[in-house]
Parts: sequence; C-alpha cells; structure tokens
Amino acid sequence: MLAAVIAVVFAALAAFPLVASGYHLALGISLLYFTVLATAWALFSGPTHYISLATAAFFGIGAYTTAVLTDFLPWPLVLFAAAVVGVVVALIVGLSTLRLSGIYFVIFSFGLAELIRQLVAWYEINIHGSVGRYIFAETTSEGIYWRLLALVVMVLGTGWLIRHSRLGLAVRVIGQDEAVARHCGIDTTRAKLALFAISAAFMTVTGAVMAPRWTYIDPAIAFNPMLSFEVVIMALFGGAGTLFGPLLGAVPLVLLFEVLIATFPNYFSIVLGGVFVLIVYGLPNGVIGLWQAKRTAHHVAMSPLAEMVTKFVWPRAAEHDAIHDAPVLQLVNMRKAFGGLVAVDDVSFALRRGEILGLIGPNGSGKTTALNLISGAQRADGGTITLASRLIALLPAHRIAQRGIARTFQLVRVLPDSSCLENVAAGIAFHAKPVWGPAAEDRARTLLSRVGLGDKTDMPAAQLTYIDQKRLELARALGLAPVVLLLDEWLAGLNPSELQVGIALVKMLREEGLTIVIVEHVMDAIRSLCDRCVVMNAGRLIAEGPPAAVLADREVIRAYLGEPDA
Amino acid sequence: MTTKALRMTLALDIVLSGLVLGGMYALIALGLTLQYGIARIMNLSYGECLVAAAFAALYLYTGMAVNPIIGLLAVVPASFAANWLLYQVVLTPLVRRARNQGMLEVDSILGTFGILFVIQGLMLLTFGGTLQSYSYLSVPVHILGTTLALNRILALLSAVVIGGVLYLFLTRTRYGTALRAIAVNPDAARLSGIDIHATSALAFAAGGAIVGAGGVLISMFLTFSAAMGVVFTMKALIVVIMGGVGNMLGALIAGLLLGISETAVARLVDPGLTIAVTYALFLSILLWRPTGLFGRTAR
Amino acid sequence: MLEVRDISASYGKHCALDGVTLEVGHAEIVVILGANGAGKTTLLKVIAGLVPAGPGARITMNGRDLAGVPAHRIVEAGLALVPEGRGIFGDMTVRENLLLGAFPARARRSEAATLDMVLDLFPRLRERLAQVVRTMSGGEQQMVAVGRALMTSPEIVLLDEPSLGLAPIMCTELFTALARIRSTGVGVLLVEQNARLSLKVADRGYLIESGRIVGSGSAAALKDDPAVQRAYLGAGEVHTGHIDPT
Repeated sequence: MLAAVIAVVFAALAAFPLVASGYHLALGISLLYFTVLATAWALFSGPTHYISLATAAFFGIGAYTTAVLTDFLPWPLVLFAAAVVGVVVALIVGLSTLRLSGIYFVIFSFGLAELIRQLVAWYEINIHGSVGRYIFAETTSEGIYWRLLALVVMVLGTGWLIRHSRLGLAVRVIGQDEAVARHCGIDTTRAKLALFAISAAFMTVTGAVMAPRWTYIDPAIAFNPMLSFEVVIMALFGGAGTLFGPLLGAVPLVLLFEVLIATFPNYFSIVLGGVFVLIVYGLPNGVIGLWQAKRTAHHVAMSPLAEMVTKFVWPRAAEHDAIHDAPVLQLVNMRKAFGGLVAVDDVSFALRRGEILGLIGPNGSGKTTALNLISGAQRADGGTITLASRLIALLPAHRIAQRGIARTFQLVRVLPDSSCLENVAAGIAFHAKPVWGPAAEDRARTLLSRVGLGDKTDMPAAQLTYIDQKRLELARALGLAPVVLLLDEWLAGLNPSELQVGIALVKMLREEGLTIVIVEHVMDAIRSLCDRCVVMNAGRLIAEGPPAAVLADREVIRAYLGEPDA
Repeated sequence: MTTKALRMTLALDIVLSGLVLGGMYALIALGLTLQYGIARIMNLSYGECLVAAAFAALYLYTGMAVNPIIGLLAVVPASFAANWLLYQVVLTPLVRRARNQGMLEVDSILGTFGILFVIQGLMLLTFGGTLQSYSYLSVPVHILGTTLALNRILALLSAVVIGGVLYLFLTRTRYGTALRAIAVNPDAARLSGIDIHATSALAFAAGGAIVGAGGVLISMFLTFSAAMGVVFTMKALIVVIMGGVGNMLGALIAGLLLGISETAVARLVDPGLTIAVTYALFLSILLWRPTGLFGRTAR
Repeated sequence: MLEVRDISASYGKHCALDGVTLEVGHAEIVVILGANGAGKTTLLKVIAGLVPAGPGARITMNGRDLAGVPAHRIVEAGLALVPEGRGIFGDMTVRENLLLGAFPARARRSEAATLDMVLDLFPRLRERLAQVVRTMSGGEQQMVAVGRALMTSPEIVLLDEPSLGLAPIMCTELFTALARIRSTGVGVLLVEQNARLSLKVADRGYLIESGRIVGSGSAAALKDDPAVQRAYLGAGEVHTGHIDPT
C-alpha cells in the first residue's frame, strides 16, 4: 500500500515537466534542489548538531566542476567527478576541523566557503583570464528537473539506509553524548567524517546538476553564501532531526520566498528576517515537532540490508583475541595532574581475572580519575596500563572499549532522547564482535530484562527514574560483552532492598567470568562483594588487601575519619 | 630614492595602514568579546550595527554638519540603548529557555541571523544599496617619508582611547571585574552577589556601544554599504576566535595581525586576495591551536 | 540566625531531600554528616538559592523569608556558600577573587577591614595576591574559596565538603581557620565526610540519610557514637536511638 502510494507520487512528480509551464517548471526545480540540499545538510548536521555553513562551498565546487569538465566529458562522468571532488574536499576539511566544536565549526565552515570563493575568483581573473565562464551543456530544464528528482530519491534513500545502519546509530549516540559514544567503542571522528563526506557529495552533485541553469557562472553566483543560510533555515524549520523534516521545511519556504520576491521585492529581507525570528521562537523543534508534540524516543532501527550497504564507509573494528592471561589489567606508576592538583600520584595495582576489586577512598582521592585513565576518558601524564599484557594507555577511548573495557559513570549518563532499547543497542553495535538486526534486538531485550527493565524497552531514557537510568547504563555496558567492567559508584543512592538486588546482580556477573572494578562508598557492598580492595587518599595508594583487613587499617581509618585525637 | 629606501617606505606604509585597519578590527573584536565572551550571545547581526552607526555618522555629518568625533557622543549611547533593548526583548527569552550553552549558541545564531536581515532590509530601504562615503579631514600627514590621511590617524587614536578606557574599566573597576567574572564562573558570580542577567545585558549593551563607535570611526575613512555588515561580523568573529574567546589581549594582537597582513597582501600581491588571506590565516591558526592564540588549550 | 523548615527537592523523579529542618546560630559550627548521595549538597544549594526550594519550604534569615529569592540576593541577606568544587574564578588572580567577594552592597563599606581579616586568616594568600588561582594547589584554591565567601561579610557561611581532595595537613589548617571564623561571630554550616576532624571543631551536628534528617546532637555526643562511624562510612541503616534530640 505504502509502496503503491510512493510509486504514484513519484510517477506524478516525474510526469510534471510534461504538463508544466516554464514558470512552474522553474519553481519545481527550485523546490527539488533545495530539498536535496536541506536533506543532505540534515544527514550530517541533524544528528551531530554541528551547524555547517559550508553548503555554498560544496555547491559551488560542483557547479565549477560542470563548468570546467562539461566540454570534455559526458554528463554521467561529470556528475561522478563532482561527487569525487566533493568527497575529497570534505575529507580534507573534515579531518582537520571536526574536532572543533560549536561556534568554531560554524565560523570555520563559513570561512571555508568564502576562502574557496576568493581563490576561485582570483584564479579565474589571473590565470583563466575572465571572471566568469559560459556553460554550453546540451541539456534542458526538463533534464535538470529529472536529474534533481533522482537526487531527491537518492538522498532520501541514503538517509533511510544510514538511519537503519550502525553508522546512523553511531551519530545519534554522538549527538547526545560524545563521551558515551567513545566508551561504547564508536570511532567518533570516523563516523562524523563519513557522514560529512556523504552529505558533501550530494551538495556538490546538486551544484553540478544545477550549473547549466545559469549558462554563465562566476564565483559570486556559484558560491553565494546566502545559499548556506537558506538551507540551514529550511532544514531547521522542517526539523533537522528527522528524515523528512528538511523536505517539510524546504517546500513551504521556497514557496514563501517566491511569493515575497514577487509581492514585496523591497521588503524581502525584512520579512524574511521576521519570519526567521518567528521560526526560532515559535517552532524550536521544526514543523515536524508539531506532529511530535510529545517528545518521543528515537527508536532503534536495525536493518541488516542497510548495514550491508553502509558497512563500506563504516567497517567493523578489528577483532581481538580472547584474554586468558593473568593479571588481566595492570596499572604501573600512573600519574595525572590538573593544574596544581595531583589527582593520581604514582598509583600501581593489578587486577586478576574474575575478581571484584574495590577501589575506595574519601571523596576527591582520585578514584574516578583512575577509572578515567583506565577507560581512556583522560590521558595520563605518566605510567603504563596493560590489558592482557598489551599496552592500552595511549589508545583512544573507543579502542579501549573495543578491547573489552566497559564502564558506567558516577553521574549517570544515558542517551536521553533514545529509547531504552536503542541505549543498549549502542553498547552492542560497536565492540569487536558487533551484532546487528533482529539478533541485536533480541540481545538488547535480554540485557534489559536482566537489569529489570524488560517492560520499558520503548520508553525514552530521559523518563526513567534515577535508579532505572543506572540499570540502563549497566545494560549498555554489558552490551559491549566486556572483559573488564568499571562501575563508578553504581550502587550509590539505592535503598536497602534495591541494594541487595544490585549486589546480587554484580555477584552473578562475576560468576559469569567478568572481572570488575567497583568504586564505592557503600561499605556493606564492599564487604560482601570485593575480593580485594585498593584504598586511595589524596591521589596516592595507601593500602591494598582483603576488605576486612583494609577497613581495619589505621591509615585507612585516618584517611576517612581525619586525624584521631592526638 | 634608492630601491632600499623605496622598500623601507613601502614597508612603513604597510605597517602604518595596517595598524589603522588592525586597530579598527581589534576595537570591534573587543565589542564582540563583550557580547560573545561575556554575555554568551553569538550575535550575527553585530556587523549590521556597525554599518548602521556608519550611516548615522554619515547622516550627522552631511545632513546636520556634526563632525564624526562629536557624533560619537550621540551614536555610542544610542547604540548602547538599542543593544540593551535587543538583549532584553529578543534574546532574553532564548537565554531563559536554553538548557545549556550549546542550545543557546544555536538559538542565538538563528535568532540574530533573522535580526540581521531586518536591520539590513531597513537600511537598504532607507539608504539604498550603493557604496557610501564622506570626506572628513582627508588631509595627508607626512610621517617618516610616507603619508597617512589625518582622518585615519584620528580614527586610530580614538580607537586607542576607547579601547584603553574599556580595558581599564574591565580590569581596574569593581563592575568591570564583575563583568569578566560572569564569563569565568557564572555560579560563583551569583554566590558573590552578582546579578547574572542584568550584568549580561550590560555586557551585551556595552559591546553594542563599542561596535557603534567602531562604525563611526570606520566611516571616516572607508566606503561602506548596507550589505557590508556580514563582512564585519565575520572579521570580528575571526579576530575574537583567533585571539582566544574572552581574551582581550589576544583580540588586540589578532586584530593588528589581520590588519597588517591584509594590507600587505593588498599592496604586494593582489587586492582581490585580501579576504582569502584573512580566512587562510584564520583557518591555519585554528588548525594549529583549536582554541585560538591565547585560548585555554584543554579543560 | 538561619532557620530552615521542611525543605524538599527532587531531580526528575529522584527525591533528593525530604522535609529537612535545621537551624544555625551565630558563632557556632554545625556539621551535617551523611553518606554520598544523601542529599547534603542539594540542601546547601537550596539554602543558597541555586536550586529552587520545594513547596512548603521556609528558609529564614533573622526572620526574613528567603525561599524563592534569587541567589545573588540571598548573598545580600548575609548567607555565603562555598560550593563543592570550590566556586572560584580560576582564570583570575587571588586579589580579583577576593574583591569579587566584596561585590555585594553589604560588604563594600568594610571591604578593606575584611580583606585584612581574610589575609590574616590565610597568610599564604597575602604573598600570592597576584597569582592566577587556577595555577595554585588544591589547598590554596580552597583558601581562596573560603576567603571569597568571607569577603561577602556573611553572618552564616555554608561550606560543602571543604576537605575534598586536600592533603591531611591542609585539612587541619583549614579547620583551624573555621574555628577562628566562628570566633568573629560568624555561624558555619558544614557538610563533611571527614567526620572526626569536623566533629572536633563543630558545636553541633545533624545526621542525614536518603534526604532525611535521622539524628542530631552535640558534637561531643556524636563523636562517641559508634553509629556515626558507620554513618560516615555509608552503611545502609543508622541507629540513632540513644542520641539526644536537640
């Protein structure tokens, strides 16, 4: 039924040029090319929240590719060349800039468009000999329309594929919490880069297709910075977080611009600005937000087909061997300072396979920093960490996660806009032996029921209680099928009965062969869970041994209690 | 004159003209530092405010025979008031609804982008789209074998005075210190009895006053048009980001660097490449130090 | 005199505070002991106006109602908070930090005298007035934080885990300073996990657990109570049967 409707709509759109007048065909072309650009923009900027103003740069590059190559190459090759140029430029730019965040990226992307425009203009004047170029492509408005229509179908199809693949899940996780993404094993740079390049390719091809419309182009026409802004408005107006949002934004706004220019040519920019301000105030979630008045969760969407197609740009991590050696994890002379504050000071300890190690000490003694060093969230100033005799201290966090170290956070960190199922899927989909599709969904459901969330799979994580969020975080960590599990005050804030359930759960995980480090203040839990304890105070390791012995240690008591009466 | 002497003159010429231009950049970057670095509003209509002030100076000089330096006395308070109103009426709802800094940044970029068009549209309607200029004190002054127009020297001196007064206010007075404090640690500022909202509005308005002054000074020696605001916004942003957000000394150095390198390229290579140089300089500094020349490297 | 009645607060569905009532007088040190996550930090934030107080709460300072008053006005009423994580201006100098403390109108007249008092209290800051705070050690930063709060010339100072991350010798120095602050007539409300050290300087104490006050008494009585040791170590249940209710 849905397929039939889509086919009819598509056929009607395809037949449109046969009946349309010149004016209506031109309007149709505008609608289509803004739809492609806005959708392509939202492919990258929607999930990652990076506002890119580089649309004009890629569009212009595409237009110039046509202008230069159209005399030598047939159409399909020109378009292919444009896509390649777009991807190459996007990769170069992305590699160097995607570590910039927020406003830095916005201005950088805008600067990029201006820089390229200036360089092209300079080249054209001084080397090529004239500002503009004539494009004598043998094409008609109908041809452009049909090519754009094909592009619309392709960009929406690509968007669907990405959303249903691991790549799509990866960027949704990144957009909500980049640190969590890394600790799930997601190579965040690579994921952002892949999407940036895909989005750029669509923009350059659009530019290449549109170029013959002008017959004459110069840098000011091809690299019009207004284009970047218009595309941003359309995508945000429609709703950048959804696949069809940008389409819903592009159509009414293109029509509005058309009407404004025709009726109030002198007031165009004033009315445009006013409309823009109204959109920002009135529709913070876009047109599509009107439908979804209640904030609904991102539902995990796992299609093996989509994964098959997209895995070329997003390959799986290299598999690693199972770990049998003991000790599993070893820290030697770790040191980390923040300004004048030494948080971890020459700390060494080892973790044996299958044990629960308690890392205890007063607040601020450096326990969480130690966990951060192990999981790669922070880089040590000195010392080494080995996992099964392999050095991991200098690896980025996502590699450490892929090697089998999973963690929870002291202040619970879930993906608020994602369903519980998708939260757990984020843990399952990116480690060394990832699962995808129905199998992954089954596994996520199993993990959710295991932590007691079996009946809340579709609820957005933001709506869970604090305790349930902690459970969800544990399920996500278990999704990584870890060798070592780091629990940072996971039992804090539980009431006595919940505490018993939590302790039993952690015990069961050890029975299954997991090696666990717990940072805790709940002494009952430490006594009943830990095989050994390591005590830290003011960044230093002050005691090590079985819980009973360590908690009776004079120095430990003094660290907790303060100096005894002299 | 020998070639060596000619070269010396050219170099001096570049440095002097570059200093004047760079001083203007540094001044408007200082204003943006107040708005973005302290009030935390990314104001894309910043350059429009500058151009509006330039038009005001033009109107005062040609229409009412008020010279631009006197004109500052009218334009700067007006710009202060307009920006204060802008913050209270348009931006406060966005500040209130933002759940975090990232959301406020996106919202303020989009909101002020709309305002940009409104102001630009009003100016186009009132003054048209053509390039404008007026001639005030364009008498050459000879300095060490090269010449510089008197209006440029006056503009630079005024910028130095305004920038200096602002710097002293921010570093030596209680209210100036409070202004900087809300950028460093808003919670600690509240606990010190500082009203964050009122102080942010003040910082934003002060930034507007500075860019108003910048607009008047620039109009004394550059041609301008209603559509040029975006260029100034971008240059101010580039200088602020190059210098490290919130760092006044960084903005001064980055501004002078930009002014001199633009002038050098325009004289020695090709005037058409000045903007390319701006962005190339900016992009390479950002790649080298992602938080700017004097920005904090990592948190 | 600070009086707090029936404070409740919650983050989302997590109830952080449930009907907390306490009072702090002039020239006394009152300590709140409790496990992590028991709601101590939230309590101080509510009193200081950083977190809204729940319905029905009454926070009064010398009889003046402070519930719902914004944080910067609460400072003017004579309450100063040293938050966890210190609440200092890291990129500014020690002098600027201290002078910012004197921003409230109530503090300005006596600014010079208060500054002298603070620098006498922490002589090490006198030598380092021009140093940027971020570059100082943890203990010195904590002195700046306490100094900044004292510069607001408060009647009551609230301190959230001032010993956090400090070496023992620094803790001792800091707590000695607290006793001297009390001798100037200022009241101190202290949230601490360093039970023995804080009970040594405190006059009275409260025990808090899962957002509720579960016991209170004089510092001497609390110090000898075995339940306190378990409480600060975070045991599940605390028996407070034989502690005198205040």
